[in-house]
Amino acid sequence: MNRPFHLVLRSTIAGFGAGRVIRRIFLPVIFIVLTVGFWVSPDFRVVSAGVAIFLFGMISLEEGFRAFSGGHLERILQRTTNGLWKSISFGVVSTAVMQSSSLVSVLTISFLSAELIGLASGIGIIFGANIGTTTGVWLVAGLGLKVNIAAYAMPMLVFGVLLIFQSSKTMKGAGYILAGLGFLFLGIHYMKEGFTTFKETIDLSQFAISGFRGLVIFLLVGTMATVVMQSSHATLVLIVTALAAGQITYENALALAIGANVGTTITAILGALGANSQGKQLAAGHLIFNVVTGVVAVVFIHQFTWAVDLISRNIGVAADDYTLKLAVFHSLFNIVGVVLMVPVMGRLVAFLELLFVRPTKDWAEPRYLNAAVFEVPDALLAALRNETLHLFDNAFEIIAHALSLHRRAILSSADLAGFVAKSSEVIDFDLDASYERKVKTLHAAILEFISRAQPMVSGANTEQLNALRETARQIVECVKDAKHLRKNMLRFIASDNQDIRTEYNALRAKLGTMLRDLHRLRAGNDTEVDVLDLDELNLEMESTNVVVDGTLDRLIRDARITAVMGSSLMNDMAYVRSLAWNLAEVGKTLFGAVDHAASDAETLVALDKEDIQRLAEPGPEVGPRHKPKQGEQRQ
Amino acid sequence: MKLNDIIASVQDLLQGEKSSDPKRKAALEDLMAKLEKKETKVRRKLKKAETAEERAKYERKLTIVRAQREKGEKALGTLST
Repeated sequence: MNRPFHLVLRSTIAGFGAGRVIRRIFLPVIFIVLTVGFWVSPDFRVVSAGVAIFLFGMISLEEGFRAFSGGHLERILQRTTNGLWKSISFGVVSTAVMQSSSLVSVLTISFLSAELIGLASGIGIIFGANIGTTTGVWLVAGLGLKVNIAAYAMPMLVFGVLLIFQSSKTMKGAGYILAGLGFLFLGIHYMKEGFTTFKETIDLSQFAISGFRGLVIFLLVGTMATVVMQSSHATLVLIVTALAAGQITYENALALAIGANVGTTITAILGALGANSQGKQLAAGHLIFNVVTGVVAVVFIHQFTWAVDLISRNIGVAADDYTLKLAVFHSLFNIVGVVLMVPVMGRLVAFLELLFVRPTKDWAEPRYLNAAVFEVPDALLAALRNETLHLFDNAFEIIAHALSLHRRAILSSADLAGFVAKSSEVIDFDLDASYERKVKTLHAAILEFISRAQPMVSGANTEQLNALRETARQIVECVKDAKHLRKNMLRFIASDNQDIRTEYNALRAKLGTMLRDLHRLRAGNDTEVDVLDLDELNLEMESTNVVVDGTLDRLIRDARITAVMGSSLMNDMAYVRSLAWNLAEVGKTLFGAVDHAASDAETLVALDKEDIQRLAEPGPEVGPRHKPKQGEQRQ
Repeated sequence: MKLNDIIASVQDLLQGEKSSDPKRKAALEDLMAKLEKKETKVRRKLKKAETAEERAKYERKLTIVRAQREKGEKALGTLST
């Protein structure tokens, strides 16, 4: 049976859902193997403890860098990933600094899921992370094995833990990073010690297998070890220390390093399981890159070893310094992988987009809310903002149609008052069904997401979360107001009575203008309009209120409209005011400044309902034609 | 950098997110400057307005910008103290 490659790959990634079952069997087996190992050899215990301490150090290091992911990291990521080579460079540098390609992968998936970066940039970062992770081998082979790093580990741990106890987020983060590095050093020390004494009892190098068979077997061992530890960095450090102690041969170490590279994709795949289609595309891209690089390294292993010897001679690495030669090999085959893949990047992106198609049919389906964005607060807020914009877009169409206005009329530059005066066309559509399908389900998804996100954010981020929840509610309220308004509006815009038609058309034009301004703000490329201009439309709405300025009384008194028509108009004015007010508030939150301080400033100067009412009262410059005589209550 | 500035920076670092008033004040001052420019622009347009409708529109704009600036001035006073 010939299945297309993209279908096979998709089912492979989906198949990791069965990973839970495998894990249930896997974990007891690992426990048994380790227990037997500890019983048989005390040196094995030391090596394993070294690996455990090293992994703990990596967790601590990741925790520390996460403390700085509340803004700085995200800003750097967004600024430095607007080109392929920039993305690759970011991947190299961030992984080299944080010494964790897993953290970089997870961050990238979060950002891609929230659409803060594109797929090509995400893949670029992953390519770079593969090169960046090779710096770990250089550090251990070049420094860790030649210097007594345990001596540095102790003060690092003491100072690190002291800082962890501080209340400041920055200090705490720095403490985790320092303690993490201390644990990494201590772990490397124990691995080195363990392998050195291990050799005195058991010589593992007697199990060395040469030739192609050895290459394949050790490649699989390297893959499995990385899958178990979920860190290629830990596997590589283990390989380097074992190689330094002479417990494995150089040839087998090369195969193990290739295997570690393949095995590391498991982290990205597991991270992408809860992600949307973009996250899955990135995980598949990572898998393809590392498998292709691994295959190239296996096929051209002799050419690679020759090149490693040549480079080593030129950079002054001794012919028998196998640990540094391993570092050269690891860097070389990852760089070759990137060089091979960059020219086919466009095709790779197209293939991945074919592999995991973004759902477009059902508008009510949340597009941005997924578990992957919970990893980073900024990604979480960006996803929520994007989803609220999605809700706004859906509501925009419903409100426009409820007013019997086509989107193209609103989005054009035509005079809306003139347009509605000429057009009495009624747009016939099922508003209730549209509301259920395009607004209610999405609103429910947003509410659920916020309730799950609440414990994960704090401070200003909590305020933003609450503001977006309020905005989503206001959007729903707008659709409901439009629904109530539509009942009479449909009747009166096609009425023979010109006066009532004129009044309802004036309301349509005002709301249409507000929708047009919101669309201009949404597009973000119009310098003539800003969110504070939305107050002006509310003032216009308030100061030209036909109920307040006596127009309604005059029309009834002169028998130009019936009292029943007047009653409807009066009630509908309340819906119009509510709709306009909510639309303005939605606009201020969604299209205002993103920066906390700038957004706060806008909120401080924006006018509230009382301000607008005060300004609408008769004054020296602007005001309604008459002072308010009666309140407007919905009936 | 003066000693007081260094102490303030260290306090900011130790307090983490708490100390954000200077940023808020700077953002508000920035917005107030924009509003001042906006008011000048609207005044110019109001002078050139030919129809009553246009005049009413720009007068409304002017009223809004003035009210926003007034609110901003009050908020600045609160942030400064």
